[in-house]
Amino acid sequence: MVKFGGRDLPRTRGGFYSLLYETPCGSLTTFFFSLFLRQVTSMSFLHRQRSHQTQQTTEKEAKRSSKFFPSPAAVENVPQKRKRQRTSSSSASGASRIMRRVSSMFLRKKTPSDLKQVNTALANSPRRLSRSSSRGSFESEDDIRRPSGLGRAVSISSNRSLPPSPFTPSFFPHDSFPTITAGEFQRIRAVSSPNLLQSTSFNIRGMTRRASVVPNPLEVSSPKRKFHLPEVVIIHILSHLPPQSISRCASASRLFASAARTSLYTHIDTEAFSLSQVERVVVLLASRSDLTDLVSTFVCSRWPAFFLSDTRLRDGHSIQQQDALLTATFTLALERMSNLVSLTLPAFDASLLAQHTAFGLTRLTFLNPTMSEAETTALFTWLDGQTNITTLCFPNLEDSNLSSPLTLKTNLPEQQSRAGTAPSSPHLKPFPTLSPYATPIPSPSSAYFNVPPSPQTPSSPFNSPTLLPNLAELHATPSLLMHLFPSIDTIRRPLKAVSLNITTTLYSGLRPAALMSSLRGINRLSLRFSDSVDRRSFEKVIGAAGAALGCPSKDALDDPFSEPKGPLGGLQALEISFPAPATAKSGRDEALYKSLQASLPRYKSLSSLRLSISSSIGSPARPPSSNEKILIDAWIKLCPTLSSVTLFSNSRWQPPPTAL
Amino acid sequence: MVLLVTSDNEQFNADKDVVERSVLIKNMLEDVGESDQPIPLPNVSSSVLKKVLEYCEHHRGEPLPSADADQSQDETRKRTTDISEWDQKFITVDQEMLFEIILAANYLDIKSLLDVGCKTVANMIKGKTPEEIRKLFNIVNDFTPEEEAQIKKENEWAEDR
Repeated sequence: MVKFGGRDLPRTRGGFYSLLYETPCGSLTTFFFSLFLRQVTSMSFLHRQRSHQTQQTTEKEAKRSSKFFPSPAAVENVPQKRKRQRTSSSSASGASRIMRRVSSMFLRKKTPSDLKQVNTALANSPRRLSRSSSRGSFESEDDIRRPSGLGRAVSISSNRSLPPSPFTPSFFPHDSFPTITAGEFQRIRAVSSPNLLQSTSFNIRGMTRRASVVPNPLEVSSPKRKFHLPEVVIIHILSHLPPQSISRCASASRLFASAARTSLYTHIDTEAFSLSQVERVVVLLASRSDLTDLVSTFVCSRWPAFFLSDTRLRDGHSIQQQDALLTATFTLALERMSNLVSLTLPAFDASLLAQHTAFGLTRLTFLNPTMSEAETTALFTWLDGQTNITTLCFPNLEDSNLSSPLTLKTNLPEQQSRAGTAPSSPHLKPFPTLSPYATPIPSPSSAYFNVPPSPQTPSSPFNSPTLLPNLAELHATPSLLMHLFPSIDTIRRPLKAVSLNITTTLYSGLRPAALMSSLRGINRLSLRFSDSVDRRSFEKVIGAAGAALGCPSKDALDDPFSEPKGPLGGLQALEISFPAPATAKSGRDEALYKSLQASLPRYKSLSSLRLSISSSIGSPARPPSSNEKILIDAWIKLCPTLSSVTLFSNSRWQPPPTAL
Repeated sequence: MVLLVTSDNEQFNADKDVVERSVLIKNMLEDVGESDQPIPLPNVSSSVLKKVLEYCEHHRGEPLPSADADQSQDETRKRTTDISEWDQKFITVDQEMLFEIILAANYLDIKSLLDVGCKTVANMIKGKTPEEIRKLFNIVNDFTPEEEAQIKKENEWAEDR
């Protein structure tokens, strides 16, 4: 009422209506109404007179009303009592003051806030309100509410957008009280006062209606309901924001603080932070175990500048105290991440991970492009015992053609042949040596056979039964894979998906047949050839893959030591990628298609074939050209289980949806 | 056709491929099998369901994100707050309705709609001070001054680069 006009008006009027309505004596209505009209006409005067006072109270009023009128929708559930109090508390409102005085006079009540009598009177009233407008009882009700010929309520609601003015007749049309029609209950008009009134009257009867939401542009800036989204949704919202915004949200309320913590610390990617941020967050994490407990994914793609890695120390960099301190803090922080599930590091660093105790760690990624012999040994010695790891990735690792990995390889067959000649059982182990690369010394103490190795037993890092027993996904190089999966493997791992970075050739140590036969049982294979791989090598690899992985091999089934690996359905997805498109003269693609055509009939359950150029991964797929279609059709004939084929040109073929 | 019943007892008829954008309803239909029984949605009111169905209708036929979607893809999806033009228009509603849509999308498990809603709210939050955020969403500051100072200090590192 203070703000006479605008959006406040209908509400105030609504309150006024309800007052009118609540008065048990119908004859009072006309009296009230004339009083009210007088009040309205004198409002400009009142307004002027009390302008100072009202200026102050306006805000208070607005706040108060916002409490009681969170939104037009929610208003429907506002208790009757509150409403009356609100009206009576509008000290600046001349009209309601007069109303109060008059009503108290007629009701013989001392306090207008005491509504019991009114409620009882209403409850006992012979008039019964009904939601149904078809009831005849509305007639008497209408007598009270609308004097006569006041037009349709629609006219009021449609006028809401007019500029507020106390003198605009349409805003308080003494000749346009709403007609109650069947449409009165339409939600779209929930803002209009007749509905307010109506819903209030329901509450008097003890009827409650669920607060509904009405899309209405007017509501955008109107007082709102208290914030009521659950934490899980807030976390989702924050996941779309940069750290800076998240940290600001944290100061909004406890709920936001908790959500912001989860959002900031569950997934940490140091790439997203500046160096000073990394330093600060590391210090914070090391000192707050409640925050380190939250971390489930930690991605560090490059060592922070302060970090003193083993390699850096070996290379004899000058060590600054500050760096040493931060490195220690970084180590401590990582050590305390007891709920870590996924860890990505630029390389394996023995001193960093030495004390690491996250037994839930399932996904491990190292981004180093090369790995020396010593590093490999150190890594696999550390991995021995990390029994929960299911995914191990070296996405950038390449087999170098230099001497050190070669010695690794030349030593390997020796071990394999030993393992091969020994009785095949996971518990039968070759004589343990301190280093897997040292030539084992034959010894009469063959009592070691048949003895399950205890964790203390020093043994080859690759042969330990506790080394990655649950590994299901591996992204590595052929030589590393051969270490983990010697052709006659004594350790069964539930390997399902393998990606191989193939950089070596037949002439530099690649052994396609042995490599593929060690992978039997997997159902997804991705071959990433480098440019250095010659045509003959990749032809051999693809041929070997078809022979070994195409279908349940008889060898595998005949092998008495092989354990059932679930349905040996053969390979389901095959991906072959090259770093760059083939040049016309290389004839690479033709050679590849040829060897694919030769091996496709061997695959009994292959459903997805994907040929890709690694530089163009992520570009949108397009439908195949007619030439490509002929090629694809030929392949489908050879391998009828195919349901998705992608070519180097990024053309993707999928069967039409109706065929599904 | 599938019959849905809202919290306020209104009934909605919709095509199966429209309502199946909701993983909750999809699973429910799979469990129940072919049946004429209406599906009760006690957490969704009719006005909200109307909007939700409008969204599902527009996006029908689009591939649903698979449960084992690539994690890296998930990350890139999260980091961007871009919303397509139609979605932008669709989500231009008052705040109360926006929250109701988000809650419904969360309940009905419609990932893309939840994303659209959350991105919209994220865009509203972006660049605002805590006080402005409180005002914007009518959030009550329930911190003691000490707690507020502590939280500020805890997250200081993220504020300045």
